[in-house]
Amino acid sequence: MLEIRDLHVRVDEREVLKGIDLTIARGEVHAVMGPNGSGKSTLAYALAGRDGYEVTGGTVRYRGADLLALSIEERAREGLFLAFQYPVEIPGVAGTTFLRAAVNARRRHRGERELDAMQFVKFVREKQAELNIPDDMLKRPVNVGFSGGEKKRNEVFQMALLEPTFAVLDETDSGLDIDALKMVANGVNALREPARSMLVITHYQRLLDYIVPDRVHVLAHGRIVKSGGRELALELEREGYGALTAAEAA
Amino acid sequence: MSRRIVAEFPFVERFDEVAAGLPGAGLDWLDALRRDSLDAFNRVALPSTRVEAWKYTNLKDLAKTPFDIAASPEGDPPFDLDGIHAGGSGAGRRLVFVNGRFDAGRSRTGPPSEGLAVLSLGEALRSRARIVRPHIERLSSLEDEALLALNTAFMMDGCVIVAGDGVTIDLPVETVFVNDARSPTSVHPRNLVVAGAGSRIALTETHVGAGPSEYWSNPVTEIVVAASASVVHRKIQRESRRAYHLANTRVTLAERGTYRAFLMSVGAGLSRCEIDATLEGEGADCRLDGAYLARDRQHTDITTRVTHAGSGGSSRQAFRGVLDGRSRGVFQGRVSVRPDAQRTDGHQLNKTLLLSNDAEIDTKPELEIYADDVKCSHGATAGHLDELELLYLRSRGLGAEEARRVLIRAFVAEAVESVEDGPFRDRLDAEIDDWLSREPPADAEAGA
Repeated sequence: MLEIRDLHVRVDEREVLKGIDLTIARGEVHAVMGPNGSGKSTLAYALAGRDGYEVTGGTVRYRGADLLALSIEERAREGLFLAFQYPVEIPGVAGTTFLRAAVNARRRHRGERELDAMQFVKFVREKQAELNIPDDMLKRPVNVGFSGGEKKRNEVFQMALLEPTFAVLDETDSGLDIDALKMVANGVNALREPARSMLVITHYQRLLDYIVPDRVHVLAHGRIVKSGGRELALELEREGYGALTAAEAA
Repeated sequence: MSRRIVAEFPFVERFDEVAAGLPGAGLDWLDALRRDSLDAFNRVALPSTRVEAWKYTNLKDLAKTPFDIAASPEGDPPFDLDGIHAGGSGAGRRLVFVNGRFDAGRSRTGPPSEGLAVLSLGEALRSRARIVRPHIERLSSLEDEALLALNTAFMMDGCVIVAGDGVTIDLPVETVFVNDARSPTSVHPRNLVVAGAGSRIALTETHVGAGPSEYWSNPVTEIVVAASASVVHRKIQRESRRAYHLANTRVTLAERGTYRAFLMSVGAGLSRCEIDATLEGEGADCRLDGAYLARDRQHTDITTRVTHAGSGGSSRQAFRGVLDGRSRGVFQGRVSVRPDAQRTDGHQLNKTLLLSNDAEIDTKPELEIYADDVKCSHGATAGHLDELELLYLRSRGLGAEEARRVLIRAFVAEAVESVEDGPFRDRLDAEIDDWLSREPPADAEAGA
């Protein structure tokens, strides 16, 4: 599904990712954990194609094709989805308008008929209930005035609507209380299926109690310093990042 | 450099001949007023950029153009006038002026109505000179303003609305000013709105233009709002790109009078819309909103002066603009609070979105406060499209162009939100969409 080889990424003249290797098979959920500044969000943005995240070396194959050759929107239409750590507020753009434009962009790309306003309301209705997204939230401008929990729920809601093939969740747990965390995790788990892979980026192992990964990778100083099964997250929880990152520096 | 620009416009040189064909010719008081105003114009002359109020808007190219007075149109104007209506069913009163002349055939002045007169200035000068004259004389004697003086010297047809006390007009009166210029010509429309005590009036001005030549539109609109009267005034400036549009709106408000204006400025090569409102009575309320959209080398200037003379008045101003290419926007907003105008509440906001590195906005708020119990504020921002907002939209599959348009649209939409009249808002939306649809692709702009 996704194959990252020796990925180097530079941001603001600084090399942040220094050779990432990561392979995620179809249907798998991998977690990337790491301390602040290790390059977790850079990895997410580089995969999404954000301007200013300059790939200076390495390759990313996505479903057999060169992901890095695609524009931001082409990646999205090909089924890549990034749940933002800080979902962006967009004043003046109503939630439904935005979501319909997004869903229709994806449908056009797949050669499907676009949904009109009525069809879209029907399409959205069922997914709304699962993530407790009230109508009011869709009428308001995108993310404007949303609480932290609402923003994260809104990200997972978009993911449910866009039905991605590969989802990157960038610290989707940050700033959530336990109830909100469970709701978001349930939303994500409901989307787990054999044809869909996920990369869950998190600082804390707490999220992984709810979204149980197939593999866990530890990112430090721009490199993956250790990979393992679910138990690696628990080990990190006990011992902290200190031991691992120190070992790397030594 | 001098504070004045001396221009030799053919129509000014031919004053006697031109004036003989203008509305109200032969009325002694008006002939004298025109002549006095011509003298005033010749004395004052056009302001150069050395004059503070004209620092950012340069009239030197206008002054070099050999403008004559606009001729009667030849044949039909190249517009679908039915497509231009103020809203609703399009069944309201409509006055159409082509090249400064009232076009009775395309107009609907409506059935006579108790306490209400909606007519052309030419007709008003014939049948209602007693009402019209004091206003025209008062405004014209107010100050030495070159463009106002020139308008008075050459005033052409315009719309006159006189509403008696307590009269309400349900549908807005539409006024449409059409310019079809075959050679460099000028028009000087003159409008007058007198809203009697407690009356409620709405009017819409649309300025459109075509034709192969540059032209100059120099309209003056005087609005008198009596006690507790309400006037809603909306304007769309969509002149041809070869046009100079230099408009003056003068408003006076008596106690508890309200004036709401919305201005959309999208056309003309160079435009300046000046709105001057004086809140004379206690508790008057003035709200000025608008949007300006410009690209290429367009220059668009919005200059407002709000004077709080009576106590307890409030004024709100919010203007938003989008500037692309090498266009330039100017927003000058002055709020003056006179010593007696205690408990004044005045706010002003100007926001501009710059789509290119070559676009420029000059924004200049001025507060002059001589009373002590006053709440006044102003704010201005200018910025580019937000990279993260674009990323967010594109990361959901919207194309780069679509994402850009969605964000530009959203930025302008916040200005349009204050317009309560649905059909007029639809027109504004259509103007914005039209403007966006003519946007060149982003990759045509270097460094975008």
